[in-house]
Amino acid sequence: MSARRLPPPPRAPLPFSLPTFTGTRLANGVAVRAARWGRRPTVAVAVLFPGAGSAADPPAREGMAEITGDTFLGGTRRRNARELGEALDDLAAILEVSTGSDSSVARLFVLEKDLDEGLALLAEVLTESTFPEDEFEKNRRRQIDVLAEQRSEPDFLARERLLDRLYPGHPYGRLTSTEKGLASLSQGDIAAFAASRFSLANATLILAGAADPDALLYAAERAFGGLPAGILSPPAAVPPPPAIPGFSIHLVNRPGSVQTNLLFARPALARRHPRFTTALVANQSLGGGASSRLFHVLREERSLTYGAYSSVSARVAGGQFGASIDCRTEVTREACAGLFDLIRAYASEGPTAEEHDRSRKYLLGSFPIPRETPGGVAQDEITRLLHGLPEDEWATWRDRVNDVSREEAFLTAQEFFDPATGILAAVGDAKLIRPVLESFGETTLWDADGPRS
Amino acid sequence: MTVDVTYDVGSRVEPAGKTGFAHLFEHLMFEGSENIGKGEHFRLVAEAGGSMNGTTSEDRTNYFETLPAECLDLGLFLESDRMRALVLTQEKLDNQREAVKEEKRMRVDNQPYAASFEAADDLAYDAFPYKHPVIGSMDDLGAASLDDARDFYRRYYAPGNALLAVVGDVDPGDAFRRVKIAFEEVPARETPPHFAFEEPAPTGERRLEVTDKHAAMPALHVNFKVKERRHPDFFALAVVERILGAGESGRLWRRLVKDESLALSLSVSLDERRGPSLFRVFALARPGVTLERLEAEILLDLERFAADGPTPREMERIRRMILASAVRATQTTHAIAFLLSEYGLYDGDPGLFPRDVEAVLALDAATVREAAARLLVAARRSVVTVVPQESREAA
Repeated sequence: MSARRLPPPPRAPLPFSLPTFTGTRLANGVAVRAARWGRRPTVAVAVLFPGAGSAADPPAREGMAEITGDTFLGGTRRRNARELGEALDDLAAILEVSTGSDSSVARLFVLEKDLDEGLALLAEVLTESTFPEDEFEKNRRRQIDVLAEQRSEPDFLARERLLDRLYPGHPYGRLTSTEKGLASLSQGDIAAFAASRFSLANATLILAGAADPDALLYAAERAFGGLPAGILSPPAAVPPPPAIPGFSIHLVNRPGSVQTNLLFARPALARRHPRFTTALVANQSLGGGASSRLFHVLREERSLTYGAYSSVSARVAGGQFGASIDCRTEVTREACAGLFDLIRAYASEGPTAEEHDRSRKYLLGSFPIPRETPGGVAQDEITRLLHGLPEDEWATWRDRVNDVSREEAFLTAQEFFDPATGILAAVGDAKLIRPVLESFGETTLWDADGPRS
Repeated sequence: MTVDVTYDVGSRVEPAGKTGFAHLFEHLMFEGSENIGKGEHFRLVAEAGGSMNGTTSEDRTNYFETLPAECLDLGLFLESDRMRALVLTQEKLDNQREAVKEEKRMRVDNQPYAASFEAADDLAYDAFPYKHPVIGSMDDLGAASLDDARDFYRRYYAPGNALLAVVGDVDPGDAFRRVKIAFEEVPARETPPHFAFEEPAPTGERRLEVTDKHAAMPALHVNFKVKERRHPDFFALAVVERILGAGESGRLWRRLVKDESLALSLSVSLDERRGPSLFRVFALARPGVTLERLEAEILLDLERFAADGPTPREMERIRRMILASAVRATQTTHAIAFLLSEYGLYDGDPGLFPRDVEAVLALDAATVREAAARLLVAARRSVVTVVPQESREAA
């Protein structure tokens, strides 16, 4: 029998350098950042509006930011909604406004040859939208129906309940709008919200594409430089998330479910926390991918699931560590116990030397993959600006990952991954799994109708 | 840099009683080979800083790794080793059988509307290859044996039944040399005979109502059985698809979702299959809108289009959208590898993508209208109505 052949070692690494963003302020004060990136004749444009996210929704008016973003394409002073849609499609451009918790971002994808026309349309949408009453009303009614549809999806129900309990009474506790919040809004409300939170004075315009950055900056100047920048109103600080008392389980009853969806999270680190990068490395060993501990044990060894993962995610005022597994109803006990046993063991022992080495190598080597496109590097710049990270955040990121020691990964997991504190949201058929979950901790039963508060 | 190996085997080759096997086998390909232990494939790719996966469609199965360019040899090693000497065991089969069953529960059995897509294919097709779902049935997955797996590997995973694509920051000459080193030890094996099947000509409208225990809203599939990918009719329908459903101005979407609020969502799509394809419209009805009304409105727009065809502005718009889509579809090594592999495997010419784009761009409005009028007709139509179980029980 011949000896086992070993995988070939890598050759000397090829250099990979990120682009440097060039920054300027237009005559009206609007901040612009541009970088040359990508090989195809396309440009990714993003306009970041910090503080225009759902965390800025006034109390009991959930959905303000989201529906404002949705209604930007409802019409401008020059065009109605249909004409606007046709103008975008005539350019083969994609324009969307997405709303997160801490910000909203308007994104434009356009071919380089159409950049001027695309930016002119983007500028028109952002500064001349009229938020027509009929379009607002249609969007509001549609969003209410979308919520009803989403509550038939187990993943949505789990995420909605998890955030509601992880951030009780806090702006981060809302996954999306609510029927009650939407019902309270008027066209005047969203027009006012847009004027204050979506003002160009608060925004940064980011462009990335194969073109010369100076050409991108000039294009931005042509489209935006002569516009009124609007009201400068820095984002209101989001209060720190409240502490979570211990561990609790929240079961959303979904009769007829053939699976149990288990979604755990606990408070962890904000993006600016000095150990955030360490937490990413630590998480990779536990549940970041198919070579990580959760996947290997719960799927490959124990056949309990299609996939089990963990993650660290961050918002401006806080962050969370999370883990998830979906399993057939019959093995809910084994899957739940397996998930938490592995997290607890990891939090108390940390990664093995082999796991830690592999995690660092994975994060270092895979760094270029999401940055292959102009949209990828534009997203980096959004993250950097939103979280107030230094200019060299991405240039030094790999060095910092490389420097994380196993001991540091362990100490971070010990402090931030321990599931003794946190929320487990479960979605499934309560008559079958409630007794099972109750054996893991105090379990509150919910229906699928959304937050009560 | 992406390494992609695409095998000429998909769920279409599965006979009755063996559904889901092509996809189940895709899972087994990650479970270890002569030089790779169980779980090691995942670990090696992760240590190299790569991502990897496999996908199974009706028409093919592919495996890919996106790795730093200096790790080309690793990607080639992993692919050649499992092509040459996959190690199959009962334990691995049982393990991945459960993983696939969980995948089916997660993607189909526990989701609203997912099962109705399977019902729509079953209704539209007569011949078994496209009639059954890629994920298969629980019974067939449960019955899959180790002998089945070994036979499948022997029949379909021969080197002559696969195409390798390498895309990225590599020197082609050097890459070919490395490919030769990695794959020359894979012994040639008999390749399966060319797969072909007859799908009977459509003979009239088909209808089906399904009850969905997870759905909150009634929904509707309106599908038309049409020609295979790359057929001139298919290119014309690719234009129709966009005029009706793409962007912010797609006719059906704009009118029924945005302007008149009759549908909560609506998608128009054209399956790209090697055999008869489906032109699909799928819509969720708004509360208070009956499925009869929604269907009538969809058919009304199709009839209008068949009568009047696209406007000159729509034709120009769609040409620009197709060009922009082609640019966006070729931004990553992974996406380019997919295109090269499918064209290479299906058509014997990996470089056909730009020519197909040109072929669609060259179409005129009259050709597009004529294709819609001839193909989007009742005789080719199959309609599936999806009724939420709750509303049925309340009725």
